[in-house]
Amino acid sequence: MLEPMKDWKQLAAARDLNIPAEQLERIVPVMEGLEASFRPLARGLKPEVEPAPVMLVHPERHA
Amino acid sequence: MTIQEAASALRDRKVSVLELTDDCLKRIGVRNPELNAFLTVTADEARAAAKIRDEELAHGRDRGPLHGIPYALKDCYCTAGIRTTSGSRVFAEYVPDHDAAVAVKLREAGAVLLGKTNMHELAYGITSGNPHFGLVRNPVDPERVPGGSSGGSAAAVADNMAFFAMGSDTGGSIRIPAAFCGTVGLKPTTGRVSRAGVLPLDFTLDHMGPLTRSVADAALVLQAIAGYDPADDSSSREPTGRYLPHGELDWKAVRVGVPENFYFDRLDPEVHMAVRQAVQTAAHHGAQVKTVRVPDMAAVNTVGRVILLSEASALMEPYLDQRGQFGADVLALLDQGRLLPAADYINAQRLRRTMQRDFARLWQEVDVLFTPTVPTAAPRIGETSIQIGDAMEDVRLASTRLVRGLNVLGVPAISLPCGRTKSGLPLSLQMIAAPFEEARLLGVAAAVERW
Repeated sequence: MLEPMKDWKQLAAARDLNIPAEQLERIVPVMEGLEASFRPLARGLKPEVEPAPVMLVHPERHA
Repeated sequence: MTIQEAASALRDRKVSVLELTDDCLKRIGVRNPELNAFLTVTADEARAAAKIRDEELAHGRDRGPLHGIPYALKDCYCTAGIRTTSGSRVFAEYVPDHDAAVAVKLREAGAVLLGKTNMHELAYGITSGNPHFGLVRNPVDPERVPGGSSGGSAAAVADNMAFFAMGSDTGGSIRIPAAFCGTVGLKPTTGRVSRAGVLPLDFTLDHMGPLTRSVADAALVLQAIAGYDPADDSSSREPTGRYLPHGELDWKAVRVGVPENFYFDRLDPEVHMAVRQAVQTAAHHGAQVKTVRVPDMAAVNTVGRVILLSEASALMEPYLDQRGQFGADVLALLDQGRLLPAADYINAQRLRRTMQRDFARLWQEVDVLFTPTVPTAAPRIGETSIQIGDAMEDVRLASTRLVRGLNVLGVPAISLPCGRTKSGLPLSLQMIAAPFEEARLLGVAAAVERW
């Protein structure tokens, strides 16, 4: 299945990130490259896999 | 002179702490105008501390192997009353009221702080071409970069301005400058050395470690700074080891892994040859050399980039309305991180967990991996792409390609000198071990260093 790439310029505008247009021109190709590498990896994740950093509770600090 | 040699000379009364300190300060005075390795030199404080350490030794109080050893801290380590910039204009006037945990431990161990070293802005890059405080030059060839982000620390150690220097490593920032400047650089296991009191680049990839002139010196520094710290949530309660290598290594008991994939792709031929030679020498000494297949390290690097971009941008978000405060390369990375959706960050951290499990299986087969640290020798200042074989590659991505993934996985890794190019530039070998196996890693590295 061919998925459309993210439109990084629209994302920046929608989130009001205030990134100048010339900067966006420079970084969009980098984001597209990263997206192309990352998306297939993320697609293979199984639901039971949790994120690496976990919430740590230190009871001794609340004693 | 190494830490071990200086420590011996101090105890034999051949030299005093004040003399060692003055020698370093003199060297800094001569060489720093060209190399720009130090941002702040605390000469008066260093001399005062040196006198106290001399008096302690005279009265029989010996704090151990770092007693009286002059050293430097990368300028992201907080130092009470001493400016701590992280190489950034945002923090240019920041004077902390506290010391980083590592700085406290080193003071308790008797080391003498000479000052704070220059670095890539916010530790977010590999050239140490700092737009606010000036670029650091490589002491081996001042027309080349020292690597980064701990470039000032590597230059200071390589050029004998300090006996050791502390660096930080989020995606290779200790090992890359160590490789380019010809020093030893150690990135310990995640949680082995406290991050408390260090201005962070990110939340889950930062590691603190030393740059030194020998493997034994790296072990001595690690011994002083390792251990649990409740002030750092990532700190481990795993007991520390005995890190200083002792006696001859029994090579026959060492299983050396050589990756058949990824690590030897797209290398400068001189780098390739130097590392292969090290592997052959290990085999000659009796090591069990095994070819192994490592998990997809390109994928690990991708995950590392997503995590770093997201976390660094989250950290710096409060300052991003001051765009003029950042250098162009760092601002571009911060903007990239702002664009990434939260789901990508979370999925990257989920992928990280699976990758850690996959990589851990390697340790059933081998004790230590031998790889190159960087695919080339130090690039020239101003180069943004570099020729590797037939292809051009982005300098930042090429320099981090073989090191970044290990920050994602959390395993310890050391870079040590491994010969020189025909033009005299340092070549390096990276060695990687299982989590918390620093003692084994340092033992093998020390044996390699003796060849």
